[in-house]
Amino acid sequence: MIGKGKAGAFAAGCLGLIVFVSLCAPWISPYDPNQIDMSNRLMSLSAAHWMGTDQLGRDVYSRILYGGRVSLLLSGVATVSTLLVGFCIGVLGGYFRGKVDTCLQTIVHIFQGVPGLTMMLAIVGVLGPSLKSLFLAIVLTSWADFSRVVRGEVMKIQVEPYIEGTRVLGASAFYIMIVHIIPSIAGTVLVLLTIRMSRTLLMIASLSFLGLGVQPPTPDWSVMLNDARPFLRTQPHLMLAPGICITAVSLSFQIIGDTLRDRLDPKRMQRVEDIA
Amino acid sequence: MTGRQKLIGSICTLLGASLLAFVLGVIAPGDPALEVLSMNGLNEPTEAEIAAKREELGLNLPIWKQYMHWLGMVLQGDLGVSYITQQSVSAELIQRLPITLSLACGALAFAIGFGIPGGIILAMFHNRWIDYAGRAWITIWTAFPSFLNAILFIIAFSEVLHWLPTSGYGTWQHFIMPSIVLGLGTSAVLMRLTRAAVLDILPQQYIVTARAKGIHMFILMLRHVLLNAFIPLITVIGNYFGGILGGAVIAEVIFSLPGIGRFAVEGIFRRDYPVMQGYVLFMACVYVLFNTVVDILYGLIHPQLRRSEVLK
Repeated sequence: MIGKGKAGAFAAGCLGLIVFVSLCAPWISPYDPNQIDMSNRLMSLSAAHWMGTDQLGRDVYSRILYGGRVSLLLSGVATVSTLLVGFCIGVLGGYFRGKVDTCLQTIVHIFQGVPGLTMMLAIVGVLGPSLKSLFLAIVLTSWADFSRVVRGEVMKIQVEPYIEGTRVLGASAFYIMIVHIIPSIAGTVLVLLTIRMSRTLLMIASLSFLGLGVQPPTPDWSVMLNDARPFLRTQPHLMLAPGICITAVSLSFQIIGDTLRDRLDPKRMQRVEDIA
Repeated sequence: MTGRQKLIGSICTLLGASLLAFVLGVIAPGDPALEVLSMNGLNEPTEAEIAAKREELGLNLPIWKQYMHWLGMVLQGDLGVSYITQQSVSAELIQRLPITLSLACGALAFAIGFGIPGGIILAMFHNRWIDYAGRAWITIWTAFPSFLNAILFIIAFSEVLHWLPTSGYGTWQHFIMPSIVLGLGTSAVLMRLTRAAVLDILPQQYIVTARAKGIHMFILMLRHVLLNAFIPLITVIGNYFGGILGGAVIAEVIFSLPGIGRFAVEGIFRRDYPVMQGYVLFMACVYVLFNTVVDILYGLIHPQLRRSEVLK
């Protein structure tokens, strides 16, 4: 495949740059992202304000630099936590089968019976919009998918002769899981993780856009998008700048995930493709 | 799985969803009795009134009895009264359901109508420039935030080209943009899956035979390739419908469609918990029902499955 590796490298570079800029935002941003200056509101692009100012006169460029911090950190932490929950439950169900598996699968089915964003909305709605409830909502709505993929992989691997051989030699279930099963599904999990990062980021952004995610005045891309809605016609760059950032991150994760999938083992990744 | 097992599975899922909805009501802050009594914003209920109302609503019962009581009410179609509009929640939701359903069906129709033929075309031109462009297109749309997409559509088709109405509800034109915005992501995923499925089928011997017989390309694609490609596709369409149903909220809010998603978002801002519970239940019902229909369809187009069931 021509250019696939290059696209992956480019995406990784792009993502690295955005993460670096977000980390260094306090040192490189020209203004305080929350500095309100009503005399300079809704300015267009200029040398003083590279990306203009918003409806409260805050510098858009500084807010863009800060804007990835909350979303990126939250989606990272939430996706990894989701992965841990889904991974443990999937491995347990896939390895032990029987009653344990039936119980776990019933719970998984229940959680999959409600559309993801619907459940997120309901959870955030009841707990009130905050980072904590966003985190909870993400983990509760996505662990089931993770666990199903992991369970499928574990079930496929554990009937392989080498696992049976190890078992016959007297290895404990714990040993087999740690030494054989977890390393062999690590690739699938990695692909799932990257593609899910993109999903989680979009979900956080969607909720923030509805006013239920990250709350103003936090300088966050999705909050900026929501703030910019009334000025869509007069100041489209207010919306375009954060929009491009969100899309760039989400796209980078997607491309990295795709590249990894092609590199690792395209045939075995079919299930990941089905779900992610 | 036999039909009966599937049915039992669906019922279990619905019961589970009802449990989730019930738990939402339990963990919601505030006392429902107080909320109901002070609904009109004028009354200042006394302690005795609250206690009496708590008794009436069954809030002093053990939690599992409360659930059974609530479930009984739900099965009779009573989801409680909205704190804000003071109307029956189920009536409010049923009134708005057709809008959400039309939107979701429109989006699904777009996703299937655009994604599946697109995937076939990409597979036919495997590793040619159309395929590369198509794959870039797929990657972009699977990762594109739908709200941003909606805004770009509004700018392009309403404000610049004046082809379609910006927002609101009334004619079928109002559904075009929201459906496309909602269905684009799914169409990209379906395109990728169709492409993969068709690429698996094309080298098969029966395709080579059919081609050797001189069958027209169109008939070949329709009868031999598409029908077989459908089998892996139809199982995932059910899953993706969940994404569409959930995502409908965003399209409804941006395009001001008065569907149940927008009603639920309004409910959230007003802390109207019965509305949220109803929303979760309704969405779960639609989703499970849709998946059951998909399962039946799957049996219809996959004769092997039917035959093995008859043998059982």
